[in-house]
Amino acid sequence: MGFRIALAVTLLAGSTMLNAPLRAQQLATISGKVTDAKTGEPIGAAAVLVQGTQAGAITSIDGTYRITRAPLGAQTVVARRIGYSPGQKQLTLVEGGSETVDFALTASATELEAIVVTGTVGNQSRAAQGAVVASIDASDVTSKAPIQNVTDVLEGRVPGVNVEQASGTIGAAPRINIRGATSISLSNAPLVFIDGVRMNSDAQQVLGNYHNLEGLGGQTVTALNDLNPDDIESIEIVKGPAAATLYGADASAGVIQIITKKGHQGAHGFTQNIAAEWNQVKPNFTPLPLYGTCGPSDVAPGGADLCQGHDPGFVISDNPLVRGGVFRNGDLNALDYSGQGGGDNYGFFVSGSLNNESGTSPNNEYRRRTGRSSFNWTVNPKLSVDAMVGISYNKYRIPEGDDASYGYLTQGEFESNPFNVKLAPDGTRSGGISTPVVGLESVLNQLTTLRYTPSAQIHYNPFSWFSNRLTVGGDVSSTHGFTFFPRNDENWFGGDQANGYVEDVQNPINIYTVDYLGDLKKSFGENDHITSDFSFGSQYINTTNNFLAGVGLGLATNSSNLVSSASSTESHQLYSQEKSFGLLAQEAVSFGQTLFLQAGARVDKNSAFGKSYGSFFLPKAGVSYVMSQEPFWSKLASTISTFRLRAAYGTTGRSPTPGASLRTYTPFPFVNPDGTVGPGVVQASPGNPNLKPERGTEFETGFDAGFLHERIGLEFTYFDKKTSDLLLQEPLAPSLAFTTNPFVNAGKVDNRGVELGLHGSPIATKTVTRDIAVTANTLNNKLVSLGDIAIPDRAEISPDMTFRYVAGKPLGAWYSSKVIKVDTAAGFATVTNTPVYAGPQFPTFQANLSNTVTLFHNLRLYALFTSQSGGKILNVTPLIQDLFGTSAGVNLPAGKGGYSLEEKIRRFGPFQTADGTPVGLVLDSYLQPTDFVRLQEVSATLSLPANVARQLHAASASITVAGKNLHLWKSSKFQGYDPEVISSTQTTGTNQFATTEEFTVPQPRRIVVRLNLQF
Amino acid sequence: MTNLPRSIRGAILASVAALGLASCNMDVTNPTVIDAGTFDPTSDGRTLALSAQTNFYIAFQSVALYGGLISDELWTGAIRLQTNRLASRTFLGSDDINADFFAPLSLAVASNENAVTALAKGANAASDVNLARASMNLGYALDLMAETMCSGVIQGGPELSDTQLLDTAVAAFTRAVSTASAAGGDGSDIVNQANVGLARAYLQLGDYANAAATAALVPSGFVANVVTTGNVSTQGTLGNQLFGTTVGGQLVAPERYRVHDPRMPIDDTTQAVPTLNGLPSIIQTKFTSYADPIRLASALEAQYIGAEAALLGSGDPGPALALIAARRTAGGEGAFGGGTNQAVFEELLNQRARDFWMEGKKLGDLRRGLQDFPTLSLPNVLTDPVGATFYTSVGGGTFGSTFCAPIPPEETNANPNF
Repeated sequence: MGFRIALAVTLLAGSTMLNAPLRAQQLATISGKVTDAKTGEPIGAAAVLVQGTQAGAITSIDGTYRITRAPLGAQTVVARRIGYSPGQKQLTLVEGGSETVDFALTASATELEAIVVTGTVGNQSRAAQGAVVASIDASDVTSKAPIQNVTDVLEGRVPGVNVEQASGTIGAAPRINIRGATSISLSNAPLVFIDGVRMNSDAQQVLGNYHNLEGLGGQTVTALNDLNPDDIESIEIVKGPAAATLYGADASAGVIQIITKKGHQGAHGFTQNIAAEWNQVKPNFTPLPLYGTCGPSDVAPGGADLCQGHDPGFVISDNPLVRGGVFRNGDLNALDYSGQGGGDNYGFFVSGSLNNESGTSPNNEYRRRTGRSSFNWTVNPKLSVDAMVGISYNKYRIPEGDDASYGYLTQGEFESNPFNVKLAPDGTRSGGISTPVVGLESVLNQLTTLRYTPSAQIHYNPFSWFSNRLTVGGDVSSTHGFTFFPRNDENWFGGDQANGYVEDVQNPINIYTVDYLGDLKKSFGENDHITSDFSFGSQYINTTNNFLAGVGLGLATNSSNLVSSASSTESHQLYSQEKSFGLLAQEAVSFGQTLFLQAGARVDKNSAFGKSYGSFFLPKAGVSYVMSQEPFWSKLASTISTFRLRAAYGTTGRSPTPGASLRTYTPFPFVNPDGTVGPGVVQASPGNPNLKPERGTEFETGFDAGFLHERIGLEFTYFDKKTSDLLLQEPLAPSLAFTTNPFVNAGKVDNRGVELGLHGSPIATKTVTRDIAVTANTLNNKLVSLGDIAIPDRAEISPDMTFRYVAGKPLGAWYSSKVIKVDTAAGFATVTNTPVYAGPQFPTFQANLSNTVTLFHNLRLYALFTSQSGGKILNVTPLIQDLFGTSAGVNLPAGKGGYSLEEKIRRFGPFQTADGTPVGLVLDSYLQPTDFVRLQEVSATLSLPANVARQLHAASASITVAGKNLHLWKSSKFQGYDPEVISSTQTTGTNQFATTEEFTVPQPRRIVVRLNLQF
Repeated sequence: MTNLPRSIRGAILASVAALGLASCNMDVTNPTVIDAGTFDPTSDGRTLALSAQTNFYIAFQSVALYGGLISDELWTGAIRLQTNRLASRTFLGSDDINADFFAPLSLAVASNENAVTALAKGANAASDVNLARASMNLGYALDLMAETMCSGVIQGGPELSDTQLLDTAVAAFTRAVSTASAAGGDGSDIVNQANVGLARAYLQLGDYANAAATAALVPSGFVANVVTTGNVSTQGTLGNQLFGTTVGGQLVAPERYRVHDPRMPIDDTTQAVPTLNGLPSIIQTKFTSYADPIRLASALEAQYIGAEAALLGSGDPGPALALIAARRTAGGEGAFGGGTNQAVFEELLNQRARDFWMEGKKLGDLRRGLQDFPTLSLPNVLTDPVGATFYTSVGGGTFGSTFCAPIPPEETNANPNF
């Protein structure tokens, strides 16, 4: 296979090279400067391009550029930069001539002329798109916000993009979904591409999978964290099928395209940046103490130590985690280097970073080493080549979390008992916790990942109206996981971990992408009023995943903790390969710069469906009408400078795991007559030869408007994303004796909502600028039907508390008996006859506000607030403590932290229905709102005076002081530290919607100091 | 195409070539799953037969374990309500019946039946020892289903009565005997084991003449076991689960079995856990490791079948009394006092219960006994009587009279025949 790809790439590359004019070019030079029209400040990193060619340059920090190989004749030169309307100038170039072309760009809040590279075939303007493709200026975000990883860049910047920080453990992955979840069985995480090359973006759970270990609890890691956010120029987000059609039958959850920094071709210089950063990472919480009320036997001699000398009824408490000093400040030390430069027809970028971080608990560390280089070369005005390579090495140490047995909070807030605390004569406490802190600290869960992401792009424009782009690349990663429970004489661990346990995992995952796009553009009519843009191409992705684990139980000594040193060993292996291939075509017609029509389709084939299954057809269509270009708009132009209506329709899909359509056996050993074990099989799935991908169909419509001469931009979108042919597992009759239920296509889900983006610069003077951005979105997630399939309710803690898949309700909707009335006199609570709908798992409304004020070009102040509401979470932490009688509410007097009588009855019953029928445990009180407003990021960046910079031997210098997660306003009904964290981050299957909070470490608070030097 | 400039032609052709080369092969390698289409049922016949046999072994142990709870061969200290409903014979169809009985039995039936079907297409099917093995295990799986379930289902078909299941088992055993006889060599053990199973099925059907005649074919000293393994990585599924479950104290020996009969060894002196949720932790020591085999068929069982067939078929208590005398001697008991045929039958079942403790037979014995003698005295056959107080406080109540497992809702909900 590798040979075929290599041969194909070589053929295409060779062919395009050979077809490139090799004779000496007749060329001219263009140079100039790009500045802000309002402030006169130079604009760095602006792209200046001779239209229809590959001749171009990137401005250096002082705004200057130089294009030395511009083609002769009448040409149009365009300058672009995110946040500005593009500048465009015509000129005629003569052989050997040298022209100066300066641009003064006007800030634009609507950015309709900006180029988007994602979700389109050619690089097309935003105005031509019927569907929204959101952009994040990552370099701007990382320059002002306390950003540690790519998911930090995504959080709170784009409406409809939901990033839930599942845990406060350093290195743990968040859960990301765009426009809500629509798949019950498959992942709802978006696809991720880096410079057009698919990367592995699945949440990885490679540790602790055997012998009743619970992994890291709900914690996972993500390959997104392997990237250095400082290497990213921008991120484009395709939110749904309307825009993602061209990404094929696996893109219904959306697409995130990461565009990395490139060299500054034409800049004729070399700028270097060094940033040193230090973080203090604060736990931002104190673990809950556990309480107990002394009884007569406890206060008697020989009873509980803490009760001695007290009367029955005395309340004791203990906090073994605080005693053990478990949660304390962590820190981060980071050093980033990058260099950018270029010559006449080439540019280069190199970077490297070191990142050492320790979390707020022992055994929580994160090390990241990254390197990236890119080289872009314009061979001639028709041909350019970009070559990029990224490498990263990451090492995590992550403690167990959530409900895993040996998590700190599980042990300290659940597996503890103040009655077991031993009191020394000097008052020193010991014991009282099932596994002592020293035992928990001894557990090692370590992951190291080496990731290598080479890619190349060839752009070839044989004519101004015909362009080609070939992208080839790979995401080659190797993960090594290591879990170690040391043997000990103190019985720290039970079960198979008691005598020492070691688990060693190797998990290489390789993804290769070959992507070709061709674009034919032609103008017709009077003044070339009508432009036809026909694009075609294909995409091929090959994914292999090889998982090999060795497990050893029983160690003679901890110093020899190899699997092979264990008294008994076992191995496990999984291997899968998936190939997808798609052909795509799109025709876009524009009428002036006013009306844009788009229609396209992709035909996809995926190996997951076997050879017998045909292709999957995915159509799309879109319209964009820039009304403000019409003559009649001139009367409104002073108020609403830009106004565009848009609508788009598109389809994508989601493919199942490889082999899902096949009738299969699964390996299962048999016993030979002599007692030895042999290799056998057991029938697994009957398969389903008619299996198809889930089909996501989306219609979206909205408008973009610019106000106050483009100072304010407003973006409004309504979307309706329907997913049909859901892949669901059909429960087979057990007598058929298949051990795996087959997938069938059944059921529908509908996600609707509105998204609002408001951004702009209401104040922009030479001394003060103020930028604001507001994003908000609603989400109405509804299961329309399950077809003939019934998904069993999943009960949490009590049969009364379930999440269900019910038509007309959100996915995984909470159902619980509801407390209608509490009768304190009679001493019971009246509840509904049956469990009733109690709320959605996911938030239904999210809003974010960021505000940036720049004073005297030297001081930039920035703040970001994030918020959500509407979701419910089952808060297991207080529930367990209440049920086990160790909470403050149960033990302390009312008004002093204890529950009132009414609250006690509400929580503990007795419960009965209105007709007096007794009801068991009702957990309605623990289904709590996840509403919050968070002061997510605050920063102040000061550009140091030039003389200070000079003393540091730098051209410029700045210092940033920032904070993250500085304050949290949450619902008074939520008992706990952080309503955002969840104890499960399963990304597939019905249980991915289990949003419980169960002894999860809350997000820490960060104080950041960063020094930036530019040379 | 010929009118296009050369450079465009080149680019387009190269693109097509590149894409064609890259895409022409959509073959993938997924060894994690075994495509049934790549599995040759004939050449892989031994694997199929032994795999299906293992499925039966697993089902057998599940029935021996959980059926043992119903038939009072084991008591449980579990606090789980469903398990206690099983042990007190008050269980419901939804009480893990699928996981404990129906699913493993169905897998045993289906995999052996599928193996028989596949191997029957082979050229030497008439003397294929693998086919004989699968056919024999199909018979045992069906027999066990008939003894355990109130009714049964085969591979998504309609509900079948015990008689229908046993008739199918008789056919499977008969085929096993004839095929194994033709195979010779290794087939002789299969012949004997299948004959024990066939006699057992006849006995359950009340066909005493055939039961006696078939049992008489089993040579003395013959024993066939469910083979288990002590291999650490597979002992959780392929090891002796009766050892694995009872050694941890989850199941204890019932009071009526604590009589120090050498056939029912127990440890009532050195329990690691003195009590288990109120139950004395007196555990079995018949099986002392995961590798201990479990007797499945034997000449002794054939003797019991012959004696019972004579007693119930022709009313001749002679063989039964002789066997009872021998077995009581083996157990260190005094002579049997004799009595009515029911009394002899009860004592025969009493001795069977002792000889075959935890060998997956007692539930069938009880059902057969209660069918033949509705007034059967349960205490006489080491079983708590209906209405007696259940031995743990979890769930409370008294012993019920449910001696068979209903078809679970997982089947009735998904099988269109219901």
